[in-house]
Amino acid sequence: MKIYFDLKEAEMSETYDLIVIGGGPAGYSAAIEGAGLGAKVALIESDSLGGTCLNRGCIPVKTFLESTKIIKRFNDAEQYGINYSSLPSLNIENLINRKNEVISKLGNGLESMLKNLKIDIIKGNGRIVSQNEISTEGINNQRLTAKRIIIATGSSESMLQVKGHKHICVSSEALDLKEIPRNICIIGGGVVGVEFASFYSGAGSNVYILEAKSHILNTEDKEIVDRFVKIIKRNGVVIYEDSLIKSVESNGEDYIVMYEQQGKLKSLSVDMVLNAAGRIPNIKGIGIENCGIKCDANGYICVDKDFKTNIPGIYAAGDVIGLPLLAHAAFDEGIAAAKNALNKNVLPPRIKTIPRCIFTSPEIASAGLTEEQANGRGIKIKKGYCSFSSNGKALISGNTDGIIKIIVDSDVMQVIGVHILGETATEIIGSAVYAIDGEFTSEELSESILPHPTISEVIKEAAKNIMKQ
Amino acid sequence: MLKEIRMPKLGMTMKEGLITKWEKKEGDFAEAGDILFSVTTDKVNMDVEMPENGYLIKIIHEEWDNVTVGDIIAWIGDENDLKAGFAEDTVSDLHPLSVINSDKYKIEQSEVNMMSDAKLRATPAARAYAKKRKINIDDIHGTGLSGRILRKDVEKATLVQTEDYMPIIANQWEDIELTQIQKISSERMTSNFMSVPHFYLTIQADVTEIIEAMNNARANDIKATFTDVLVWMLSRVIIRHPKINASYVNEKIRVFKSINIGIAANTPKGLLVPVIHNAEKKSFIEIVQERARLISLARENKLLPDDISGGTFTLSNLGMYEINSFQAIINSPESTLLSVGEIIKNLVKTNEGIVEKPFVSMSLSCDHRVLDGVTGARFLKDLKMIIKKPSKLLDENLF
Repeated sequence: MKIYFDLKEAEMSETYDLIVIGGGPAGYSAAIEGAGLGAKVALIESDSLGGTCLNRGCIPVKTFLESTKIIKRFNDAEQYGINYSSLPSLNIENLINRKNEVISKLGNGLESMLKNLKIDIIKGNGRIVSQNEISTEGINNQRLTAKRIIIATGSSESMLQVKGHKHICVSSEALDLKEIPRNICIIGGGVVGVEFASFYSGAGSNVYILEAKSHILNTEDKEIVDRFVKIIKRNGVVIYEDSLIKSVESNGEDYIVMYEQQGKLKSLSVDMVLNAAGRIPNIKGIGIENCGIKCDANGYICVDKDFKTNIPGIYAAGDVIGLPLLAHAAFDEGIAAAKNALNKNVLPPRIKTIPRCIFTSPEIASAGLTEEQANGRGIKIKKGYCSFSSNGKALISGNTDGIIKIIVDSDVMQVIGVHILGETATEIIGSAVYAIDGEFTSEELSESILPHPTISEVIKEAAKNIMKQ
Repeated sequence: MLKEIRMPKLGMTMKEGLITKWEKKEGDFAEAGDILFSVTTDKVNMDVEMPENGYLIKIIHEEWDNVTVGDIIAWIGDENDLKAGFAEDTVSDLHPLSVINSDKYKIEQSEVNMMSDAKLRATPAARAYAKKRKINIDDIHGTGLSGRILRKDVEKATLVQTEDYMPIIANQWEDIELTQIQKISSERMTSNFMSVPHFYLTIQADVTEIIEAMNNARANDIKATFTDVLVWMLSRVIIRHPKINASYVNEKIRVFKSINIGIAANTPKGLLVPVIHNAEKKSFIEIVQERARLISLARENKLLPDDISGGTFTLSNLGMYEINSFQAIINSPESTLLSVGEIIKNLVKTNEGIVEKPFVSMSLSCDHRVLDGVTGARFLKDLKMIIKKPSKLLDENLF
């Protein structure tokens, strides 16, 4: 009887060169890379393919922000010589539909790409049983054998442990909103917080941001953030710095948010509270305890420079290994993890510039070091600026609220940081990534010919500004 | 169609390469990747492969030809080319530039190569960093994509270069500040050694009679040193060899009328060269007194600028430190320097049989722009003769 059972199980078990747990940016790029290298690959995903980025993060939020940008354009229409009589308003149903449509188009595209590459997509919760065995619990309970495993289970929003936390919604809930709140309190002035602030403010809400630290977006260049804060304050966003949330209570109509600012307890009455602070790694239920995979104090899986965990044959990539928690970093990690796991086309690990983009209105994008970081490292720097108000295309498109700041080290004038505030910042930061990775100096940036009239010309102008010093 | 095979550029500084071996003969068929010939430069040996399937039609440069980078070494082609045979006319029509190979073309070619190499191999910041610190980027190993040299590679190389000079116990050292004299001396020595094309001539001279004369002088209470004797003799011999007492100035050789002999002296503050001016006009006793005066001033650090300037020839004697022989760096703008070693006893075969005789070894460092080997050799030969027979100095007919 026993023998029979084992045999049956053995028959059911499929053997793969590579099994990836998690179908987000790190997971699917690892699977695609693996298949491209000729490996037999399975990808296990319990939810929709695409992970947080596609389903609950970058893509839906940016779809929403696109709608509020259109509202702004309508409001400004007269300035551009367009008579427009009625006031624009947001149709939430259509907004949500459009968001879902964008998600499903991208999701379907991703699924067919994976299928074309003969990657087996397995729906269910992947659970590591041993060094090269995975069980899946879902539509089919399967037991799979893998020569190599990559864990790419991502991260989730963390729940705030305060009184009345059930009244606080998280970003994924905010993406399926029924109505636009009159007053919203956003907890956390990080990237997610300010993007939602930008959306709700553009949709007509009064927005209050509670930031625990002394200023919002505290990892970005302070000078740029200060300018950004001026702009969003002008648009009605209220920011409470050094403010810690204490509790949320409902009085039937409104939520009363209690927070502590500089030792004083204060209150705020709003009709929606959104938590945009903190994420936790998804390590529960994936069986890391079964073979003793090591995690750090915050639960992120520990990996070496080759994305190897402490267990031979098991790799990890993406949010589950910790910072920077960015989709585009996860793509790169997933690809590198797959190459290393399959020991093919392995490149020596090297430090790459990871750009940071904040899709607010106006946008913020940056690459390399901030002025504070450069100073912290004792690098002697020079700075160059160019205001969008002096740029032809910015004037044409009415996006003069912006500035670019380029930081070079004063030794050889190497570009070490580029910070852009303004519309299209997220589009033009790409060239800064090339410049920093390619170790360009301000001389190269100032001498290249850029297309006119485009906002990208600000890069050249800021570099010229440095060369004149 | 005929295609040319050119001397490849195997490194940034490569200007030409030596063909060491042809692996194929004219008319041979070779597959892509087959080795055609081997090239060697001062740095590398490399095999040059056939770029595509075809025949080796014509060899332009044979084995052991040194060929400039970019010059045509051979022509390859297909079956038709092999049948048609090689004619200079056909290729000159097809590739006027490559066959004419004018000087202008060569220069352009090498400049283009150098530029593209540099751009491919190092990032702008790496180049700027290396340029600022005067580091040769060619020798640095790049760790970037496809071996690109990154700034950190140059920074690392800078560190390694510095560490090379560290003592063995690398974590314990003391940096000694240079005195002003040492600073000037280090700058001048570097410049002299780098810019003056040196050559050296060494000769041994029999000093038996000088030693006897010196012993006699001592007996007469004249405190003369071997250096004094040499200065006196040099001043008399140099007069007959104007190019020994000369400088290379603006593409001309400037011959000095007076003979001002500097004597390298070790002082508490560093190396100094006090000068005995117009030595040719001074008597032996005057030379002895002048040298004694200068050396004592030097030791007391009281030399005046006039005492250490205007030299036309330098004498450096390390014999007292038991140095056999050595070659010193010329004290520019002078064109010659005599390095004198210790007096040693050699066995010499004479008419009286094998006897022991004292000899001194002297090396003349010369600026090749001012004099050539024979000029220096003639001077040394005269000097040797005078040292051997000092009495000849008194024979006015000789000089």
